[in-house]
Amino acid sequence: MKNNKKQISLFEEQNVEPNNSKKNPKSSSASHPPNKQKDSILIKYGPGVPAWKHKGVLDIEVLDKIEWEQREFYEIFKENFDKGIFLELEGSDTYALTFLLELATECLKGSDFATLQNSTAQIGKLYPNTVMMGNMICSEVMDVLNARASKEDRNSRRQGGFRDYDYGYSNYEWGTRFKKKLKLNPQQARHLDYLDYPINAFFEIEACALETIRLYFTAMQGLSRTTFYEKFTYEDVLETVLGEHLEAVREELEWDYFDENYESEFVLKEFSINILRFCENAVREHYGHKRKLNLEMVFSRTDRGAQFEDDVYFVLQKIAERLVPEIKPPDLQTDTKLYEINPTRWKAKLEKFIADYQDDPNLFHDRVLTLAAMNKKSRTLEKIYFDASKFMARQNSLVALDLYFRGFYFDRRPINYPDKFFGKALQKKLFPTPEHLYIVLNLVLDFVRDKNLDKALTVLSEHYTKPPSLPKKKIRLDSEQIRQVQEEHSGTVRLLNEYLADEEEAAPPPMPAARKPKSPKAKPAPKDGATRSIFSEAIAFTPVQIKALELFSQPDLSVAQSDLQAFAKSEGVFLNRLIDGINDLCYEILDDILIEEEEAYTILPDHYQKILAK
Amino acid sequence: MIDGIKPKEATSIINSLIGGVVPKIGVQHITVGRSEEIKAVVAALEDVKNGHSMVKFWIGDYGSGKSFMLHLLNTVALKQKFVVANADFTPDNRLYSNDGKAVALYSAIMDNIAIQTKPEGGALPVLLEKWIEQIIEKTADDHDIPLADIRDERNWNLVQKQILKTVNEITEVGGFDFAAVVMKYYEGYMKDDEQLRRNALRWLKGEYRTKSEARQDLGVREIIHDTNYYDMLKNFCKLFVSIGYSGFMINLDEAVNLYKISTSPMREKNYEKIMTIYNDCFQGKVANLYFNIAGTKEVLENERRGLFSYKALKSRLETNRFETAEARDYAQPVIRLMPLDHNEIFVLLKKLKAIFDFHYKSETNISDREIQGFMEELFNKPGAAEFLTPRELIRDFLNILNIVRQNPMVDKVKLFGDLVVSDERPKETSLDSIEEL
Repeated sequence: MKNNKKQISLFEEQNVEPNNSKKNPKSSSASHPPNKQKDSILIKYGPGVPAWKHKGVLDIEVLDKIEWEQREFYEIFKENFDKGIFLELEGSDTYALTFLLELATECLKGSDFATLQNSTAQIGKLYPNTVMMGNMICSEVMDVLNARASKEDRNSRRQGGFRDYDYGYSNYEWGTRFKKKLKLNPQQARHLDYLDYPINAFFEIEACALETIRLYFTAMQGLSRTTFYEKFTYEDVLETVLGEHLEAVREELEWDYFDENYESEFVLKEFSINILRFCENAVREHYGHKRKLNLEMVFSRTDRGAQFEDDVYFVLQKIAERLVPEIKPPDLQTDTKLYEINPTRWKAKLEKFIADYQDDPNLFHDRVLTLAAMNKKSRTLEKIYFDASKFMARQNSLVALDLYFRGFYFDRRPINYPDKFFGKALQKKLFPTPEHLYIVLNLVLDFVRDKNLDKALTVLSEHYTKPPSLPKKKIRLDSEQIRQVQEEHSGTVRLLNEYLADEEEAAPPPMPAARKPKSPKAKPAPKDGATRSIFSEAIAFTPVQIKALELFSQPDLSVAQSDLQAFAKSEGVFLNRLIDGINDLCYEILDDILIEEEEAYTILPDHYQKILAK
Repeated sequence: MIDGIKPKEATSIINSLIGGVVPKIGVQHITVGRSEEIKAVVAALEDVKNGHSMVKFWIGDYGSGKSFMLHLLNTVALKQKFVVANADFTPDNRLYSNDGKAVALYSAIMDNIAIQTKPEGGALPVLLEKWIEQIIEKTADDHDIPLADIRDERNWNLVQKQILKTVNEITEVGGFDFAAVVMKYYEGYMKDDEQLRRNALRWLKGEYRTKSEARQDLGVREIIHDTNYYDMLKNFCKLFVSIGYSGFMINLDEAVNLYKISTSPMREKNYEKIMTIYNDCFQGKVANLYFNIAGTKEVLENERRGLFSYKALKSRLETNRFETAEARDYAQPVIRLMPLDHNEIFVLLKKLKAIFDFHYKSETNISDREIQGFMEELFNKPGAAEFLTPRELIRDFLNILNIVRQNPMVDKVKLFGDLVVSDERPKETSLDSIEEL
């Protein structure tokens, strides 16, 4: 089939009818043109066919062992066969059989079995001696393919855990499965089986699958009754768009690898599956299942295709709007399963209860309990009670507290005490008197210990409405013990005052080595500076420290960090050490730090006065 | 009653307690009912000063005064010339890890290093400079070089040698890199290269995450990481003592965050590290080092997740079997902070009133009988038995004193009636329910 147009033109050039019987072989070797034989579709190869009569078992590896001439002719034979030109083999049918073996090998690697079958039939007609062998090859290939398919099927069953053996239909044969329940006609059932619609958690729930399929067939009927662009039926448009799509794919893909039938079938099937997905989404929406399936564009390669898809979904939307209200509401079992696969689905339901609330706390309570029962496997079960409790706190305190206790019964986390759980405003409403809070708090503490929900709810309903008045515990003080405590405390204060008092030598002692008497060169004369100092002689400032403190003798008693840094640098001392040394010396007198490090280094005026010489 | 309290101490006490925090100064005046614990602390500090090392576990319920005791320890230790560092265990700070959480704890400790003249922390540069200064003086002394000349570049070599020599004397592990970094700090100072000084400090604080970065910045091959930070802490302890300090006290609060580690192997590794520290301290492998670790009773005693889940620690930390509520033993590594009884609370409130009056130079019209009435009212509130903490009680009392002082005619009974006890504990009350991974 491939390169058909090109082949026709070749025959036209040679004035030969485009019929297989009159084809002229085009050899890859220009020097050896094959000659056409009259009254036969087989064409004689000019230079003569190199003899090849194989004995024994023939396999594909024989090609590596044959002579060069045989190999060359085999390639010419194959090339012409592909073009529909058939060479006479002059008794060397091994060429044809080897060709069949090559096709069989390709088939086992994944190419179409139909191609092998057709080629076998054709070769059988042209070279009758190959018929038996050809059929054997085909039958062997088919056996291998069947074995492989059944193995894959077994694997997929094992992995999916699907129980189709019990039902007598395979994984995705929804038509066979539901034909009775949905009263499908044979065509509809076959169509559905053919779609192989993949399973998912939502579709696995039978009621959801049934409603989706019901909606699908009704929607398909609606589509086929729709007129597109005022004159075309759905099928007309589909065909046109498919044609354009195939053309686009043909241009896009390598010519040789394009299989039109396969592509057409794939695209049409995918399009139907998308419509089924669309219907499933509509049912999901209707059942409050938030997660949706993706609808993939299949005709997106052409503008018209994409437009068509939009048109179809628009029509489907309209159909769905009309049909969705007719979808049966989920029964209790289905609802429970839906809550299981969608842990937050209850929120919408609870919001509805809250919106519908009409001063009937008992009805609300029952509804919440039913909702919670359906969500008993949910990981957020306690949240249902908590949210409901917080809503009811404004409406009815007893019901709110009942739901609060139920929530904590199912909550695996530490209990949240009522004064933290309910906001300030709600607390005032729930606990109008200390007695109410006392009752609930005691109940909570008991509940934490025994986790006995029934007991907690019974006591709550009995006591909350009429809380007993609280007995006031008297605090007995013992004057002798008080005296003892006071004495002990005074002793402690004295002890600590002793430890916290400033030591005589505030600065840490220098390293033992540093205590050695230094050479006269190593020590500047401190007295010189000290005698002229404006600072108290009681503090043993070094000359550098005095110079540094003199920098502070400005009205605001502060020095910029950079200035003090520069000073320290010029004096060859570390800045931090300089300040720490001064602070250390002054701590005795001030019981505080002298120089504070903020944006600039500053001294409090009081502190400054205290270090000045009197 | 107020035993020579200074006015600024009174101000600090009243202002801090109303804000619900421990006062910075004057804390000794409110240590009612903790006499024995304080004696134990003081004795421990004396021991550490004399070259011993110690680990103490402060165990008490939420609001029992663990943080207060650690703060008091801080104050006394700073006065006693200790270098003190405080850090909290957090989900990202722990003793053992292989993803940087242990070195993060080390960084927090080094960042918070405090001395008397820098009590708010950040004293590492001061200490380093103090030490370098001593080294310089010693070098000048040894080589008979005037102090003015010793800082010349030509004498760097001598200073460097002295630094290396001293570091070698005081360090066991990582001494060369430590000395090299200190030299870089010195070089940065002498060359006025602020960046170099900062990089050296970054290294010492364990803030380098990759060796290549440290090598590029400082030319050293090693960094402080999860596995060597404890050795570095011990090195620093020796360094501080060599400068002339009494010792190095490290306070680690919120041990519940070790308890909350969700994987048991990781939790055990952290407890194993506590064991190592415990053994080092009590076997005399390290001198002048004092660790305080604070946590709740559950952190200590829970057999599944607490310190007692690590058998070797359990045998070391178990309560003296002869101890009773009356006959306490404060010399053991675990000090349990019992709730104050009514008499002690009464004395505390009376003391607070006296300090309050001293601070405001007034006489607030509240009698002893009324203080008792306040206590009765508060202890009869719903939840008082479970949730009332000294912090809340003190805050409420001071707030009432404030109202009464400014409105002498106010109805005190009504004020007491309006008191509410609420649960101020962090959410994870029942730690047993933490999911095990």
